[in-house]
Amino acid sequence: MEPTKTHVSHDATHDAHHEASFLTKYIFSSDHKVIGIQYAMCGLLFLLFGFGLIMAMRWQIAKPGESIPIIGSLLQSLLGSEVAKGGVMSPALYNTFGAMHGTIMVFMGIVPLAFAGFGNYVVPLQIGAPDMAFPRLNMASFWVFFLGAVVMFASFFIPGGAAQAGWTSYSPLASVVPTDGQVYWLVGMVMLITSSLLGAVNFIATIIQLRAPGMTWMKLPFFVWAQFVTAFLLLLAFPPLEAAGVMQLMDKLAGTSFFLPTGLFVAGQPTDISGGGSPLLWQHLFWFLGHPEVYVLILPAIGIVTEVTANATRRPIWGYKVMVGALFVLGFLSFIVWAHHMYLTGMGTKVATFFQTTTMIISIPSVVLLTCLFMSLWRGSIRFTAASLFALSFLPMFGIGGLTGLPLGFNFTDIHLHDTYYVIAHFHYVIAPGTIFGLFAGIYYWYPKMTGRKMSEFWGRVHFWCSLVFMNLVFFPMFKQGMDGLSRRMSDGGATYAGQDGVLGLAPSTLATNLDIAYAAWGLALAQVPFIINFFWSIRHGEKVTSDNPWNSTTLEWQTPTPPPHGNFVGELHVNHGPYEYSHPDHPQTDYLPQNAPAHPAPDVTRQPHKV
Amino acid sequence: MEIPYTSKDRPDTGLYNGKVGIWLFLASEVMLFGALFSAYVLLRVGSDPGTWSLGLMNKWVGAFNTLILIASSVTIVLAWVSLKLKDFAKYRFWQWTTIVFAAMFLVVKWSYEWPAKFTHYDVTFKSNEAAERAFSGAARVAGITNFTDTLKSSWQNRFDPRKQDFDKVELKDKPLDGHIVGYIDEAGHEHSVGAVLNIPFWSHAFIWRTTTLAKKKVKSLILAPSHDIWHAPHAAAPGVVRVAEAHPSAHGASHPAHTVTIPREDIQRLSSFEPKHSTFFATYYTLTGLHALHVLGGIIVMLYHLLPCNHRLWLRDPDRFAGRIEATGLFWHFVDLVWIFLFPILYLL
Repeated sequence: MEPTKTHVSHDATHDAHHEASFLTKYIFSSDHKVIGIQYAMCGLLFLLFGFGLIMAMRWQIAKPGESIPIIGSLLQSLLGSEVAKGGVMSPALYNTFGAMHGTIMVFMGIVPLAFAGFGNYVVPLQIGAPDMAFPRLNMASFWVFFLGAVVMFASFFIPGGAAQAGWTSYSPLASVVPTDGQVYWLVGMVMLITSSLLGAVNFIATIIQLRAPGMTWMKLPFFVWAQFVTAFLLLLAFPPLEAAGVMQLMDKLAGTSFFLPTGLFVAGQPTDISGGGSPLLWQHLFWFLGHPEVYVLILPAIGIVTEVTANATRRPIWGYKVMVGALFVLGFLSFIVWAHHMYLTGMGTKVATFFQTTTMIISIPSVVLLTCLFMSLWRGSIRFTAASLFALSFLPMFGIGGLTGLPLGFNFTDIHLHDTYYVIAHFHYVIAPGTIFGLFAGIYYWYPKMTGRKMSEFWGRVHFWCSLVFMNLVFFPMFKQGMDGLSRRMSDGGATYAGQDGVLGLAPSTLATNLDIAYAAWGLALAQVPFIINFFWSIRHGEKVTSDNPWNSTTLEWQTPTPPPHGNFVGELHVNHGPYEYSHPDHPQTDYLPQNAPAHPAPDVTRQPHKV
Repeated sequence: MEIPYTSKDRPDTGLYNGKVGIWLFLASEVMLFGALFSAYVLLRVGSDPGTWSLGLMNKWVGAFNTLILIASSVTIVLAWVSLKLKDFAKYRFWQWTTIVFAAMFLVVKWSYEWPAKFTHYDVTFKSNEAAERAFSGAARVAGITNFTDTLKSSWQNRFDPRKQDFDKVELKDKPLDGHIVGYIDEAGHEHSVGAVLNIPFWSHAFIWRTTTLAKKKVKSLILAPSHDIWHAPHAAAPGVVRVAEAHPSAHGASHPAHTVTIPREDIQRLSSFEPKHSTFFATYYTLTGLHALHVLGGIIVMLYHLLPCNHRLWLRDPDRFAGRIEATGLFWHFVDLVWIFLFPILYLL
């Protein structure tokens, strides 16, 4: 086997003669690694911002009508005293923050970070490609995304504020709320969708066309498979929402009635519309995207967790081929489960039965993936690092999120749980301690490749344990609140219904939990401080890596110089091994066999021993 | 750094990058238009009797547009074949032919079809009595004694090819359609509705109704019932009506013999055939508009491929340039195919 070389300097770069200016190198770059980092930084920033929105909302839920400390006066001066008088969050502002929290977290936080960020940086490296198949398209994709984000953020400051109709933007509500924020939302969404489409085309073409010699399909790291299926979901599920967005824009701007029914009254007044539209049509088109979107959020994280788990356990992934199969089944089924979000719309019991059946079937491939990952831990000598701790905790957290989804997938239990805090707890377990923990694992894991330094292990563990505890303290009580009947989207956290009799009444203990959750949410925010400091501090002051492959990993991204130069790989590359050949019995010298190691390593006594 | 397989096929997949990319892009386009076609089906199936305006389209104009798009699909293949035969001059010729066809399609759509609809109004009434007065007037200018049969056949032609809903819709909700050729203001003076700024007939579609009509100076409307839909022998021909709109004093369309005066208080709803008119027109404009934007995008890409920088690319790497034309051709066939679906569902069915 070839000894691992260290290329910390750039002198081996082919393009050294072609000195790019700062602007073309770091801002308008067509290098997949720079674009990946641009996406990831934007994604992280937007995640933090979206988290900030919900923290203000949690204050309003816990202490309705009280002035928000610290940022209350800031909100009043930024957004006007109409919506934040005396620093108190008005119901309209609560709706705005709620709608934008969902939109920002899903479309501008996790998709850019998980799919576009990690995907751009890691996928070409892992398949041994010099760049993406269409580098300039890649740059266009980022800048369209960026413009879409600018439009979204600009909408906070227009008269009336940003969109208020939830991240789902159900019509007719979305069409009649008295703000142009919805128009901004739609225009922003069309841009974000266009960006995703360009990205998806690029990813799929890259994975099909630019695999290095010898990189056959079944030698692809699982992360690449996950991104491949994710790209197909984006490619095929997003356009119907784009169509729906265009139609809702027509409703807003041209006065059409695609989603507005005949005889619609708004605030007691008949509307000047032709009618004849269908509110249900919006919901179908939205959830046709909305459900595959859930898998767009989760699959890249599962991919990262797989990479980190294999590396941490020093064992091949158990059932790699089964996992790839499960991924495709999952991707296909995700297109035919969407109406389980719509059981209460009156679409009919036969339709509901169909979607209930497919929803139960889709849990099978999810369980297959999770089971394979659990089995991979069996008898592994697990190395607990910050990255692997996040990856390992993903498994039970995603498990809780998945299992609590079953009662929502059944028509009859969903009637009780629909639109309660139970739903919030369910999908946040999937996406917050699920996906986001997976993404943290990826950041700690690939950080040395991007910067040449490791993040602090100690502060990484502090970040992990505090996040794990507070995540659960935030979301677990919501299951109970939801089962007690606390409805979501109430700006006073249900105070209106306190102590009332009948089905709408809420017990005082249910409402008191709101304050506990708020404390936990602020604790969770504090838990991110070590991460943020660690992230920036380590760029210059982190522990320097002494090898291009500090985790002794098998996959190709670790076979490049650190950080990889423009064009990535130095010299010829041929892939001879599967993605997870850890602790290979025929290769006792080291416990890992890089994918590009020679096919039949002859016993080599002169080889330098590796530190393990 | 060189990206592999930009012009040559990858041996194991048999494809170059651009071809994979364009097919993936087309897959997403199929989903985009698929969603819109699904919306069309759902809205049409769920529409109330007398709201889905079939039979309004000029199918011969649509057929003409279909033919030139199909022709342009042939010519872009010829452009690509010329490149494969290493004949750049011929490529230029066929590429320009394709662009001319595509431009003709857009000219027909944007300077004739859409504006014609924007000047074509229909009126529904506050009461059956008011409707009866207006329809009797329309029958009188058409030279028929009883409007019922004419109304029934034209209404069924437009809304109800299966002839089962006529009695389900009240007379006041049945539209009388035509062109507005004048109005009477509150002082009782008659005005004509003509071209604004000397721009012919579609100018008033955009300007007149947002100024005069919106400011509520109108007491009564003077309407020339449409010959296209109101199948009556003596109504003013559409050409005459349009000339009258542009030059009110020149022809006799605003003459009482050809027009009906409808008091404002009789009108329940006045709308031209604009997107807001009905879900049918909303669908029509959205689908044809999105399709037309694709045609426009195709024209821009084809013009780009005629720029000198692309001739240099041709000289440097002919395979790569031919690949780009092939990808453009695939996109163009898709745009053509979408129209082949749009034509029947909007013009014929």
